[in-house]
This record gives sequence, C-alpha cells and structure tokens, in this order.
Amino acid sequence: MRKSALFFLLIAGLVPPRPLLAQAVLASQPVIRYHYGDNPAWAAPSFDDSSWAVAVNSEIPGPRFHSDGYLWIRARIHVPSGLAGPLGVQTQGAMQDTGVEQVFVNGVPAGQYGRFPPHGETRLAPRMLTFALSAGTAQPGTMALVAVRVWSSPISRVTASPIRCAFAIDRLPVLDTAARSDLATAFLATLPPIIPSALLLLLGIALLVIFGRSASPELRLNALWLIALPLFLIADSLATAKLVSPYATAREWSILFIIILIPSFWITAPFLWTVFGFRDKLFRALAHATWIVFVAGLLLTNLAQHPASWAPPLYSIAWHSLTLFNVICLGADLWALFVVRRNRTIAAVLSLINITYLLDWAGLPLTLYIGPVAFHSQLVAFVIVGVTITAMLVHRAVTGWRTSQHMHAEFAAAREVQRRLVPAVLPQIDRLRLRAAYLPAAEVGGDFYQVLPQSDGSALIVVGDVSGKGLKAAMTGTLVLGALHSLAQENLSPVQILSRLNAQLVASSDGSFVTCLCARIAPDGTLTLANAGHLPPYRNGEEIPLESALPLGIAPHTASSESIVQLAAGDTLTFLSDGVVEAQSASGELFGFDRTSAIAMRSAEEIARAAQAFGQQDDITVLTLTFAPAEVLRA
Amino acid sequence: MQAVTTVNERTVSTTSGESITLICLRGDISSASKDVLLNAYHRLGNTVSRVLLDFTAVDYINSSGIAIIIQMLLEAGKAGTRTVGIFGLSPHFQKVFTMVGISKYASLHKDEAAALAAA
Repeated sequence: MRKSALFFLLIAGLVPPRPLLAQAVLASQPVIRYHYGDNPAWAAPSFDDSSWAVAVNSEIPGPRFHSDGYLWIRARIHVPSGLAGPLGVQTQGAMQDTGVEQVFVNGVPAGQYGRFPPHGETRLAPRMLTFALSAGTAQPGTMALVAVRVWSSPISRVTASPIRCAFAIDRLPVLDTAARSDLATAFLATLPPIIPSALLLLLGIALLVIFGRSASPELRLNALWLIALPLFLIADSLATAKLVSPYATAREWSILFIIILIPSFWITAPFLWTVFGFRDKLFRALAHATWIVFVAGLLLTNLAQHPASWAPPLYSIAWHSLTLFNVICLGADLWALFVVRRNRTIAAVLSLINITYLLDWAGLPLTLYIGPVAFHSQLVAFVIVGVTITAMLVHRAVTGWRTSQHMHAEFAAAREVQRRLVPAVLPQIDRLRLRAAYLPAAEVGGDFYQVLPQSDGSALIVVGDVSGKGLKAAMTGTLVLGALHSLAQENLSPVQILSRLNAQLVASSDGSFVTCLCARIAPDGTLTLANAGHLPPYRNGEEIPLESALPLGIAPHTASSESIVQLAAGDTLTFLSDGVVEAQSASGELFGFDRTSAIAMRSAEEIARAAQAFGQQDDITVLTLTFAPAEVLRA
Repeated sequence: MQAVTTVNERTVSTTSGESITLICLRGDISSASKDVLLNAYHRLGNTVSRVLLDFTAVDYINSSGIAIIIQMLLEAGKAGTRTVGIFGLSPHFQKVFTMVGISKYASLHKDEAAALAAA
C-alpha cells in the first residue's frame, strides 16, 4: 500500500516530504539480514542466518509482486546497560506505510500489527511501532536478536518499493515518548496542506451559499472544485499523519480516498471547457476517459486480494492515464492562452497545477520551505489557483450583477418611455374608423405612431421607427413625438413636417435615425403622403407606391416628396412597422413583403398576431384606417 | 445570435478593362459591423473610383446595419469621385434598400455579372 499512499501524496502534492528515518531513539544500526518467504523457525536466535542477504544502508528491496508477500528481517542489536523497569522493542519502517508485521525478540513473540493471511488485513501504520517485552526477554548490556516477520499486500507489492528499517530496545516509556513525538511531528507536517485546504473548502461552501442559483456555471463549478479537492487533501493528510489508522483498513482508506478524489477531477474538464468556452467534445471526452481509466485502475488494483497478473500493468496504465489527463488540461490552458486568447489570466493561473504535476512526474518536484515547514509546489499552486480564480470569478459575478441591475433599471425606464410612444386610446375622428395593434418586443424598441386631429377637420397620421434599441431609441422616439405635436399645431404638409423633424434630428446628432411615414387625410378623402425610409402603407391590400427617401436624422437635406391619393368610401389603409415584414422564424426565414401583402386586408390585431406567431424580433405596430365606412355613412 | 461580419476585398476588371474594387461582406450586418465595414471602406485608396459591395454572403441586415451602409454611401457622395454599386441582395433587402433611399446613392444589381455589366 505504500505506493498507493505515495501516489495520493503525489497526485495532490500537498503533503510535504516525510522526514527520513527517525532520530535519536533508534540506535546505530547493526547488520540487518533479510530473506523472502515464511518460516516460524526463522524467529529462533539459534537459527543461522549467515546465508541471508545483508541490507545495504538499512534498505531492503520490497517483496516482489508475484511472491507470497512474506519477508523476514533479522538483526542482533545491543540492549543498553543499566536499563531499569519495563523494556520494549521498537521497529521503524519494516512494513512501510501499510502491511502486517510480527516482532520476536530472542525468539519470544513481542507483538503484532495487522493480520496475516489467509485473512490478511493491513492498516495504515505509524512510522514507529512499539511493543512491550515480557520480563526477562532481553537483558540490559547484552545482545538481543530481533526478528521481524513482514507481509506486504498485493497492492503494496505492485511497485516493490524498498524498505528502510531500523530497530531499538529500550525502556518502554522512552520508546512510547519517541513514538508519540514522531506522530506529533508527522501531524505538524500535515498542517501546511490541511489549513489552506480547510480555508479553500470553506471558501467553496461560502460561494455556493452566497451566490446560490445566481452563480454563473463557471463560478458554481469552481465552488464545487474548491469543496471536492480540499476534502480529499484533508482526508489524505490525516491518513498520512496516521490519525485515521484505527478506524479502517488500509484498503478501505484507499478506496475511500479514490472515491473522495473522483469529483474534484471530474469537475476539472467541464470547468475548463466552460470558462474557456470550448465546444470541442473530443478532448473533453478524452479528459474524462483518462480520469475514468485512472480511477478504475486504482480501484481494481486496490481491490485485488491476490496478486493477479493484470494488476501491475493496470496500475502503470492508471498512472500514465493521470499524466495524460494533466497533459490534456495543460493543453486546454495553453489553447486558451495562445490560440483562442480567452480568459488568458485564468488559463495562465490554472496551468500552474498541471505544470507542477508534470514537474513531479518528470522527477523535478519543487518544494518551498518556510522555516522548517515545507510546502509542496502543487499545494502552493492549488492555493494560488483557488484564491485567484475565485477572486476573478467573484469579481466578474459582482460586476455582472451590477450591470444586470443597471440594465434592469434602464429597461424599466425605457419601457416607461416606450409606453408614451403610442397613444393609450385612439382619438375619435369624423369619417374614420381606426384600429391599432402594438406588440412591443422583449427588448425595448422605438416604434411609434400618432393620430392627431387637425383644426381643419383632417387627421394627421404618423408612423415611425427609431433605429436601435433600449432607452436611447425610446428617448429618440419621445423627441420625435414632442417635435411632432408641436409641428402639428402649424398646419404643415406631411413633407414639411418630415423636413422639420429631420432638421431637429440631424441637429440632435445622437447617431440614430428614424424611418417615418406621415399622412394627412382630409375630410373629403384626399390622402397626402410623405415618406422617409418607412414601409409604404397598403390601400385595400395593395402597396401604395411612394418615392423612396432617406430616413430622418441622417442627412440635413432629405429629398422627400409628397404623393396624393384619393380615398373612396370604405377604403382601408394599413400602416406597418418593419417588425411585421422582418419577423423571423427559427430557421431564419423572414415574414417578408409577400406574406405581409397577403394579409394586409386583415384587422390590425390579426396582422400583428400573424407576424408575432411567425417569430417576433422587433416591435410590431399595425394601424388600420377605414375611410368613411358604411356604418359611418349610414349614421 | 448574430453572425460576425467579415470583409474581404478583391479587384476585378470589366470587359472594358476598367478596374473595380469589390468589398465582399459576410455574416450579419448590424451595429457591431460598423468598424469592420467602415475600416474596409476607408482602406480603399483615393485612386479607387468604382466600388461594388457584394452582399451575396450576407444573411441579415438590421436597421443599424442599413444606417452604416447609408453612411458609407453618403461619404462617397460627398467626395463625388467614387461610384458605388451593390449586388447580391435578396429580393427582400433589395426592396428595403430601395425603400430607405439607398437606391438614390448606389445602383442595385442582382448579381456580380449584372453589376459588372452595368459598370
């Protein structure tokens, strides 16, 4: 399990390098001999182990994967003279991080950690294991034979990493103190990853609580990532410090860690693709696939009870898959940084995690030291990434929220102004039957129409559309209407009205223009029309040909001209805005002039609804007018 | 969602050997197209006296886009040394261009061949 545990440290990179073999208590080491296999007779002091291999620098190659996992280690060590009180034996590193060991002193069993096969059960082990010796087992001032029977589980044997071991016999309280001190040191060494991880975990939870459903997708994914990865890091650090060892077997912890680890990596690809706006599915699927292979490979090798032949290659594939995952993520960062040039700061910061991983993978781990505390580069990268990206996304969210509030206020103001662009109630005008339909678009537009009775009994009808959207368009519309109401008092012809309106709009020079159709209907049915870029009206379903002219507000001198049409009793005029002809279906097809012409004789409401049903894109205005209709004439 | 406007230019010769610059537009023409369109137009050298605007690959033109086209045409009209033709418009936008008075400032043609023949 050592390889597995080391893997977790490397993948997260958050646990500082463990101090090497402990210090004071363990005596200068004697010759250590070892032999693979299992034989109870090897515990006896009288057994001749001279043919066994000798550990070089106290280092023993771990049992091979296809072996039975058993290993015996023997050493004759000096029992300090003058010791009084209960004695103990202490082993260090014999079974690596996980495994099972049984210790004999002078052939007498001193203790056991874990359970040997056939129902082998390994536990995360403290670096120092201390066992009490029964009275008389070892005599102060003499040599004692320490024999250690070790069993490595299949997952621990996958990499067959070397064992570095040491032994000591001393007074039991001294050994206990040394073990507790070593455990405390190991715990303190885990604080660098635990504290920032806990803070980032709280930050992730706070983001979800504060922004809730209003969080953008990338902010939500970032918050989930900040929760998921620290959870693993904290659990892993506690396991490394052996603070969780009494509660589960090593396999159970490994599987739990893998499960805790899944979300943090699973979120990574969607997060990158969302932040950078990638649409590519291939590499995203590949990133997920590498992660699935990695997790599945680890789970299967950890679950293997027996040394299956597929375990070592699968374990190797899992590792390479993780490296490929990091390469894909780094590629995504670089693609955003140099090719699509989107969210480049986030891309640069995110690449730190993958770069530090790949440096580790290449055997170039970076560790920062602040006093005695070591900070692994991946921990530092994680903290930088977590804080920086969260700050950027929060800033973006707050800015977006403010903009949204501003836009909401502007939208409300624009709607209020827009409401004034059309009359609430059409006036009653002798010999005219008027109907109007006005369907504002979701976005505030600048359609307007007015029907103004004139002192000579005629009616002035003005229909128009301000270019652009929003408050600006609506305000320009009110400017036009204000001027129009003033001009209407002067008994001007339609072309004069358009000319004066144009002059005012050009003078205001706000960059927008207005299409406008102005009609005057005299009591005898004489219709005088002037047009500035607006849709011509329909008379009994037929478009009235009008000379074209530029919209108002573009050029100081427009070339509008007047057209005169004589209306007969019962004639119907239909005035429209371009919201009718430019209604657009989901496929992009325009409602167009032909459809408009075909329904031009229908009521204003019907025409407007037909265009709206087709696909409203803009304000839809329809005004119909019937001159001297039959019921009026009868009256 | 509006398609981004792109512009490229090419020069063709008429049967009479006269050189005409074509500004080929692609995507949607809206307020967002202003810089792209005007920059392309302003990049033309002073010696360019005949310009054709190709709308064949244009999907949609809104009112702000029409205003930009009008602005270009008014500039050409002010200089008085450049004639502008337009081709490739759908029948719908041919009618709209006529309605808003663009046809007074630029000749409208069905396609490139018709535009070159009329040049």
